[in-house]
Amino acid sequence: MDRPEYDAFVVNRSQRLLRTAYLLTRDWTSAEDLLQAALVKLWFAWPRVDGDPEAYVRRILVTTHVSWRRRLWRREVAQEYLPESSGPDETARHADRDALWRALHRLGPRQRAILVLRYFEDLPDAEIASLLGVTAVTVRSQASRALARLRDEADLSALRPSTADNHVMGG
Amino acid sequence: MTVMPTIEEELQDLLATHGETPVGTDRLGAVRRRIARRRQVTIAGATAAILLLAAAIPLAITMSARLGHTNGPTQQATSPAPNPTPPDPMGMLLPEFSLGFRRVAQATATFPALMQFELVYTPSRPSLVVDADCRTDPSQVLSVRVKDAPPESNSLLEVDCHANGSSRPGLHPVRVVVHGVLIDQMGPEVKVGQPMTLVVTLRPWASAEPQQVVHGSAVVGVYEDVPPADYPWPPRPAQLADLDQLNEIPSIWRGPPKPEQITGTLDSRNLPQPSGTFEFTVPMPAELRCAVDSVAPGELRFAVAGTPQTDVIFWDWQGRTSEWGPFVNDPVQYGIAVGDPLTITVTALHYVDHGWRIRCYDVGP
Repeated sequence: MDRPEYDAFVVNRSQRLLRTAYLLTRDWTSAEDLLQAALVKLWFAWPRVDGDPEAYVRRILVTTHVSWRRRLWRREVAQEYLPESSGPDETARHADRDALWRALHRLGPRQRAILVLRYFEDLPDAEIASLLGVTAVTVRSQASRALARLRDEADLSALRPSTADNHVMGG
Repeated sequence: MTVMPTIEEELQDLLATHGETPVGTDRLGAVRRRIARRRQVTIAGATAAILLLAAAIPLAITMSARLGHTNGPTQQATSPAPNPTPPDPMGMLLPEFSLGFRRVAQATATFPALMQFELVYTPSRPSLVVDADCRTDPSQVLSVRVKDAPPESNSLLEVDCHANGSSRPGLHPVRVVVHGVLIDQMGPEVKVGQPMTLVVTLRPWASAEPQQVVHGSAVVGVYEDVPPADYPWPPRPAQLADLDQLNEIPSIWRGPPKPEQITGTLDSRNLPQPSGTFEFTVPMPAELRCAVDSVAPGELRFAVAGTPQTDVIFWDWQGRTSEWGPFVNDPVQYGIAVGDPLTITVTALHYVDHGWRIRCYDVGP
């Protein structure tokens, strides 16, 4: 079971992958669980992994997360206290970021993964396409749709209706 | 001049900085323990398989000889496995009424016989909602599009399938966003009163997975909203949810409010009847937001200093909290100043139980 290179990879390279997992799952406990599951898969695949194992783990993170999310889907409820506001601008910024964060997690798992890989991992569309097993055109169109949806949803608080004609359902 | 960041820039910043990455986890140790457990399971499984095979071969030979079969056990083992029985789509039908919507059209399909099917529907309202349930291999996505829509237009709905029921978004509680689609946004050919066709397609979401024949079922429904006065409210359960247990955090606020921020409450349990028009007064803070709790269906209309605001409608007996209660961030707009008494009027309709409550908070800086 001794694989010093694997151990070194886990120690030196997995912390950044934890953030990727967090961006996919939204909480650190699930992220750690997802990352460890991916690292276990990496250990069993280690002799077959050509090139960068980080890319392999990234792929496993995304595919495993999507399958977990299907299995364990549940309603997501914001549970975090935000930092105390320090002024109107800062308050608005926190509110915007919070809205964007929540909107990001209302996206489907594929669209969310595409945005995380594109804007956090800085991967080119061709690499994202290869990782997800889709075409680069699909990545671009999905990213475009996801961004459009974020723009719409992140504006929800600003678009708060103010007339009695706007009926809103409770909860 | 202040330049507003683009959504891409905001996203990059958010993804890089949101949350503080925990450190100090013995990840390598935890992973090693998981690997050891998995190896034990694998070895135990392989051992069991060998033992079963050793027991099964003589038994199969004996049974085959007794029954006079000519097929030996090797042939039986290599014959293709029977296809799994797909769930009966008629057993997965979507509800006729749900969350203020009425189902106006529905179509079902069984895979792989029908991987794409159509649903024809004549809109009678300017908005519609599409819901779907898809039960098949989790590598599949059910996509609903308007027939002949431009290729660049979005799907109305994409549902990740699952063998035990898809992770469907269902009917979104807020009518005007996400899965609610206004007819006039669906293309110039789509009009109220004219038939339209939706095309439903099952496809794999990642071509990296080996292509295979999928078995399963799907049901797709189109819903239109129903005015509260015409909606068949669901029957009352034997026991109501506890209003005091509602702790859902208003999602569009800046974090959950603290109890000391409460500036006023109107609780239907303290009122002579649950429906009617009621008033309460709170001291105006720099910014006021009110949460609305309800464990019963009904409609709540609000006015602040006599000015109507958003209505909130609860459609079922699930305990829910809505953040869309009375809201004031500019007292001058209502002719008052910070510290003045602010009158909030609540009109409750269709309530037969004392099952609602308004909590107002000082959320100013």
